[in-house]
Amino acid sequence: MNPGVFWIAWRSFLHHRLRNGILLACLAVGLFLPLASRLLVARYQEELGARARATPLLGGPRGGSLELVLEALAFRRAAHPPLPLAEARALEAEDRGLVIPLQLRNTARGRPLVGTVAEYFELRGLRPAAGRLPLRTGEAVLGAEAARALGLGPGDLLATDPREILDLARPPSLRLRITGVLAESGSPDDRAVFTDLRTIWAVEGYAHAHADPARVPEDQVLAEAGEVRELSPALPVAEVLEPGDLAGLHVHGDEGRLPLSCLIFLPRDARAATLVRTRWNDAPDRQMVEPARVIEDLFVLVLQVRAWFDRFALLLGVSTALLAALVLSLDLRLRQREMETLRRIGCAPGTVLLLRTVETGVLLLGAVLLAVLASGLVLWITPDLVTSL
Amino acid sequence: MTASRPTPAWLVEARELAFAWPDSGFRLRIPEFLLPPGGRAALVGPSGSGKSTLIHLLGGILRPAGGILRVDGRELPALSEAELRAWRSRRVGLVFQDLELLEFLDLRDNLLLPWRIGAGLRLDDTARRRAGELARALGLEGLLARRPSRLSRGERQRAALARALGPGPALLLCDEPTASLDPPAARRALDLLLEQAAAQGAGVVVATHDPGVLDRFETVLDLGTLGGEEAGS
Repeated sequence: MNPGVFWIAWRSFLHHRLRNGILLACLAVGLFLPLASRLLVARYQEELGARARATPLLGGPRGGSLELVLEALAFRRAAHPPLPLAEARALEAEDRGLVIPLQLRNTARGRPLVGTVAEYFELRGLRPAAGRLPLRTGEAVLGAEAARALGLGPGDLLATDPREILDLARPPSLRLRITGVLAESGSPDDRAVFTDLRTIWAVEGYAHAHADPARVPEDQVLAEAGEVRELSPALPVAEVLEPGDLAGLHVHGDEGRLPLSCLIFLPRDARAATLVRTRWNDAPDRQMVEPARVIEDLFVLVLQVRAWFDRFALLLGVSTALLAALVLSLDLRLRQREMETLRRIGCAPGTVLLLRTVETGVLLLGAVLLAVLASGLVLWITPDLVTSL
Repeated sequence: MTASRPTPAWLVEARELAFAWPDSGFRLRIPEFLLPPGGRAALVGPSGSGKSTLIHLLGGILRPAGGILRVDGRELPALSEAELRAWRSRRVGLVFQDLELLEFLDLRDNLLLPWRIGAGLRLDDTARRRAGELARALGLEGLLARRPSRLSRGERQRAALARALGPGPALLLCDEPTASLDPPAARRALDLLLEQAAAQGAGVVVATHDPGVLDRFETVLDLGTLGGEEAGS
């Protein structure tokens, strides 16, 4: 076969670039929509499924189980009432497995601020790439992507975001000392900031520290009798609490009522899992769910929706293909004379056919490539799908 | 080892040549049509008399229903389609009424088209040189980068002639190449065509409506009186 055929086909393709560009774009869109939706759903399923499977049981207040799961797995903001700390302590006291409490409703410079215990890092396989994990109240460790985005590292300070400007019980902000940066995990943990529960409660105003009376300026002391000092009401309230101020952090009232978002429960065995889950789910104000099952249920629904979407996409694809076929057949008719000229000059009928096939093939191949590239781009620019749920 | 083919006495030898279109009822019968190597023949006759059909028969594009048809020493009816294509690519140049240059190619690539697609032809330096020489000879040298739509009718005509002469044909078949030109321009174009064909040593068969140019041809075949007819007429 004469290689000039491919050259001529390519020149013809380039000459009709506007028409071919429009056709190529239409065909690519027809392919892109179902392809990208399938890839995205598969990725959702993989990411959420893997994280859900690594979270055996999840306890929280009674309410939407999906909301609870997405809050615990993806740090998605939820509106359910808090789970009292006493529930976590009671479960711990049963000694049927490991309890990992989570308090998730705060942010630090827009990043989810996760209050938890050291076992959480073990559960998720998180280890510091730089520095160390937080050991004391007032310390925090950054997820890899959060560290990159905030430009912070070990030794830096990170201010928490005020949640409610008119909430006088809550300090305006708390500066946390960054002790480390976690290695990349490819999960929502990468974009979060982790600290301990007491720090979180201080952020929320449930726990506080008193200023050291000995360090108050003399002009703010109204009276002094032995170790007792009466301080002026005009003593300014610190707008930012430094880690050093947390030494005397304490809670007034019943600690058992301190709020948690949820708790992860790693049962010792199947029996422990069944017992705890049954008991929690029998209670009117709390629930314990299996995240993997909740996600499965979610995807049953998602896949049903996708099946409809696929039908629409198929319809769109068929109509696009028919339109493309119409355009190409009209083009074939318009260029019949051109093909006839080639044949009369000495081009074999098979070669003439090949010319058209190559042109159409380039068009189809281009559409497939464009659709694949666009789908890849969509996956690439939405790396953290779970958090966008 | 291949023996060299002896030069035939006639470039075109057609005797009792017959052709019929299966669906239209058109029949063509040529008792005798002879053209010596390097000779010039005009085909005349009213529209529908079979001028284009005979051009296509001589070029091996159509197959006769009967009779003898030898062109360039080949018994055309005996050749296979592939052999006809290969022979046509190398030995026959075609100039069409509408010239039929490909718009998606510039003039240079239009001239090189036979070598790109023609059976048995290969695009090499010799071919490029040959196309360049023809472009120069026909005054197209400065126009090689242009698309056909940006050429005048006369320039396109010269381009079609250069394309036809490219592979060095023994026979140049021209189907009313000057039909859309005014008489003076048509005569100039015909002069150029005959002059270039003579320079290449090619025989020429031209279908034409213009009786004023017939004196330039050694042979004139009037198909209106010879053979082209509607069945039953």
